[in-house]
Order: sequence, then C-alpha cells, then structure tokens
Amino acid sequence: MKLIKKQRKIKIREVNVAIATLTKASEKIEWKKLNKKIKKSIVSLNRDCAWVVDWDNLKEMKNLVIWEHTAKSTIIFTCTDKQFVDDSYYMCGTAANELCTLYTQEEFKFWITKERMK
Amino acid sequence: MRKLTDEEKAEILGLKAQIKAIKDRRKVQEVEYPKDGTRYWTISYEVWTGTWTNDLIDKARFDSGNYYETEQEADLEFEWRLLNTRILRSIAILNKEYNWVVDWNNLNQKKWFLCWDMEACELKHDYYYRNRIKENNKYYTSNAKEKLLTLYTQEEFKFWITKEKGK
Repeated sequence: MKLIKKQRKIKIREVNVAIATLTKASEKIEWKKLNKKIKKSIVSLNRDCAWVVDWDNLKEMKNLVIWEHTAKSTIIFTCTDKQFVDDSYYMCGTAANELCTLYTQEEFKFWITKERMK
Repeated sequence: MRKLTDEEKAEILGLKAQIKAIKDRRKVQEVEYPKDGTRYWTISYEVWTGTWTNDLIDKARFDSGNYYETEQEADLEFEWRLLNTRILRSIAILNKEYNWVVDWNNLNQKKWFLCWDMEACELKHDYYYRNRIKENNKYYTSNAKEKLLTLYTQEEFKFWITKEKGK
C-alpha cells in the first residue's frame, strides 16, 4: 500500500514537471510569435514615416518602448547616441506612439521582460 | 440583471469599434507566406536550409521568426545566439558570485546593463532603478562591472548589443 502511494507521488511529480516544461516551451513560442508581430509592426510604422535609424546622426531622436516597473506601464524612451538594443527596436516618435495603440500593456510587458503581468 | 443605459451601450459600441480598428491595422501589417519552392535558412543546432512547401514546419519557423532569406542572415543570427548564451551565462555566474538578484521592487537597487555609445564608439555601463529595457538576465550588480568587461572583447560586446559586425 505504502509503495503504491509512493509510486503515485512520483507519478504526480513527473506529470507536474512535464506540465511546467510544456508551459515554459509554449511561453517561449508565444513570445517568439509576439516578437515577430511587434517587430513587423515597427518596420511597417517606420516605413510609413519614411524613417530609418541613423546612429551617425546624433540629433535624430531614437525611440524605444520600455517597461516602467513602478507605474506598471510602457513608456516611450528617447535617446540619440547610446544603443541599448539592436536597431530593430527603434522607432520615430510617431511610430512609437502608434505602436502603443496596437498592442495591450500585457503584450508589451511580456515582449520586453519575457514575464507575464502579475 | 439590469438593462444597459444608452450611455453604456454607446461606450461598448465605441470600444468595439476601437478593437476592430486595431485588429484591422494589425491585419494590414500581416505579411503573406513565401511562395512554394522558395529557398530559406533556419536555425536548429546549426544553420539549415530548406525549401518552402507551405507545411506546418515551414509556417512555424516563419511565424516564430526562425526564417531567414539568406544564409548570411542566418549565420549572423546563429553566431549572435552562441555569443548571447555565453555572455548571459557569464552574467549569471558573476551575479551568483556576488549573491545578487535583480529586484524591481527595490527602487534603490542599481540594475546595471551594457550599452554601446555611438558617439564615443565605446562600451558603457549604464543603470536604471525601475525602467526595464531588457529581460532580467541582462542586468548585473555593480560589483560585476569590471570583471565582466575582461571576459569579452569590445567587438564581441558591440555585436551582442547591436547585432552588427564590422562597422
């Protein structure tokens, strides 16, 4: 009887590990899909504004959507000369504002931090 | 159950219209799948080439961004991923050595990260208290700053941040 109980416990643990692994894998796929969608939106919005990131132009405002932890919301961060991430994340001001209307805060938080809204 | 007021109905209709507009705008931005027979490159444990047959695997690769039109693009991404894994592992080891964990609820904790200064053309440490630009595994403690820089070259760090080489 004790042995059956022990086996059952082991089985349950195995199932829980499998579920956790699957959840992690599906989150990874979800993130990749969202990343592709948002990046595509950035390309398209920048194209609409005929804007291209130019690091040689230190007067050009390069905008980035980032996550503000205290406010629990996105903010548009502007920089001119310091590159934090690769070019595919940068936008002109109009594109950044427009991008913020296309996705939910939950989606942005997940995209930026790879964490779900708690 | 109470009936909705005219104002509430109008508000719901307005919201529905907004949602539809967003969906429409997203749809416009959707790109069609490649044509059958298109050669493409993808990353598994190494760079692979494939021919588009519009099957589930092709679509899954495309939808998740694991689709590259040229071999060079795929090679560059593959190289970047290897470097990314190495640097992130180093950051994790250093943070563990100093017993440091990023804590966004601690607004006095400096979360350091690397950036590339385009004007000075050099690597810089920068920090934030609550603005999150990247995921957690890219932040490190101030104690790790110097040591981290000794582990990789400036070129490697630049490539890691900008995904660009040889400029």
